[in-house]
This record gives sequence, C-alpha cells and structure tokens, in this order.
Amino acid sequence: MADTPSAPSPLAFIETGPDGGWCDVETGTCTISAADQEGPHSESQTTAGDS
Amino acid sequence: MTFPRLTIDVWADVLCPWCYVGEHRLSTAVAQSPHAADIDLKIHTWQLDPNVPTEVSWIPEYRVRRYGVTPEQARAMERDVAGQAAADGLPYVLDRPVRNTLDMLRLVHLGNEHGVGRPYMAAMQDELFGGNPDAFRHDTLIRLGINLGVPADEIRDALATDRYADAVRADHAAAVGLGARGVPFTVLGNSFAVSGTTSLAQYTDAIDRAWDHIHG
Repeated sequence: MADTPSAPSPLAFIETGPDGGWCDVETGTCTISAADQEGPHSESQTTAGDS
Repeated sequence: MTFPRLTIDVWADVLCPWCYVGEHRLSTAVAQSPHAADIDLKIHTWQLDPNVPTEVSWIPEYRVRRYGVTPEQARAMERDVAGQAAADGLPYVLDRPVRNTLDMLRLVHLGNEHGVGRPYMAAMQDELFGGNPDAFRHDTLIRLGINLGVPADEIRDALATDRYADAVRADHAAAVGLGARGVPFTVLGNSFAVSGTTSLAQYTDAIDRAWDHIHG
C-alpha cells in the first residue's frame, strides 16, 4: 500500500510544530518532530528513524 | 439560520503511536472548542504496515526485525513517543504486543456503521498502548465492541470473514488521493490538512481556522 498521490492535493496543509510527530505512510517509520527538523509536508522531506 | 457544521476526518491505525497521542490531543481540542457541539469527528482507517505478521510478537523485536535497528535503538525510539504521551497523561507501555491490524481496522468500519468507529479505535489503542498482552485477541475486540453497543454477533461475523476489507482499502485510496504523507492524517472542513500529530494548541488553531473558513 506504499503508493503516492498522482495529483496535487486539493487541501491546504498546515505546517506543524515540534511538539508531535508522524508515521510515514510510505515506509511505516515513525518520527518525532523537532524544532530543527522538517515535517511530512515540508519542501524537502526527511525521514528520520522510527519512533 | 443554520450554520454549517465542521467535519474533521482523521485517518489512523491502531498500531501508530502518533495516532494514539494525536487522537487524545485532537479530542481535547474539539472538546475545548466553543464550537464543539457543531463539530463532527469521523475516523478513517490507514493500515500503516500491512506486512506485519498475523502472529503476535513484541514491539522491540518487531522494530529490530522490521527496521534493522539494535534493541537499544528500538527502545530509544519508543521513549521519544512515550515522553510526549506521559506529558499528556497517557499510559504508554514500551513492551507491548504487535500484530497485523487489518482485523481491528475492519472492526472500526463495523463500528462506524453503529456510530462508534472512533471510540472503538480509541478503545483498541488504550488496550494496546496500555500494555494489555491480549489487546489483539478476538475476545478482547468483542468485549470492547460490546461495551460500545456493537452487537457481538456482528463482530464475530466480521472477524470470521473479510468483511470491510474493501472499506479499509477505500479509506487508504482516499487518503492517498488527498496527499497524505504522514499519519495521523487530519482533514478539517474538506479544506485544511495536518499530516501527523501536532500540539494541542496547533490543533486548536487548525479548528478555528477551518471553522472561520466554512463560516467565512
């Protein structure tokens, strides 16, 4: 199920701050958000280790 | 005059630690909102790792096997989430069971048919992250469903078949179409989205923004 959208999202994505985290939909890895770390919808996404 | 209600759609997996933390933060933000009575929260499913075996194993060894990290690294990763969960007052057991979640997610869709899909997933998460070693057992899932008013025979029927598997796939496709990269994936008023879990304050701001947008 590791697919990606083929068209631009119709939604406006709200940037998230450091107090949280996410699990990557493609890799399944989970990452804690840090103040100096980009989130899942930044320009150049980085995927850190699993949480 | 009738004001449009605000719908908040959330995609999540029982296995996803940030979905567990995010569910509590978003629920709190909605409850504290002055518009709480006019907000509908809907749960959708996202299976984070369909390749998790159907046999129960334990989170540290699963992470070692799945991601090639050392046991200590696996525990360190878990502690990051555990710290935030603890700050929110949530139980978070590091040595908890792990198993394929497709059965659970199918039951969430059954729960949705009875109007309790969200609390059904939340109850499953509470069992899992609370450390119940039997969190994946069918009798546990039946007990949780019955507590929410889902008929036991319908739960048993779903577990004995592949009922709602198509609904899990449809939810997955919908999230992909909306551009989800991280879960939990939250869509507010069909206009704004949050990928991942954010702070209570940011959930509150997002709700206010979406509310203002639809009542512009």
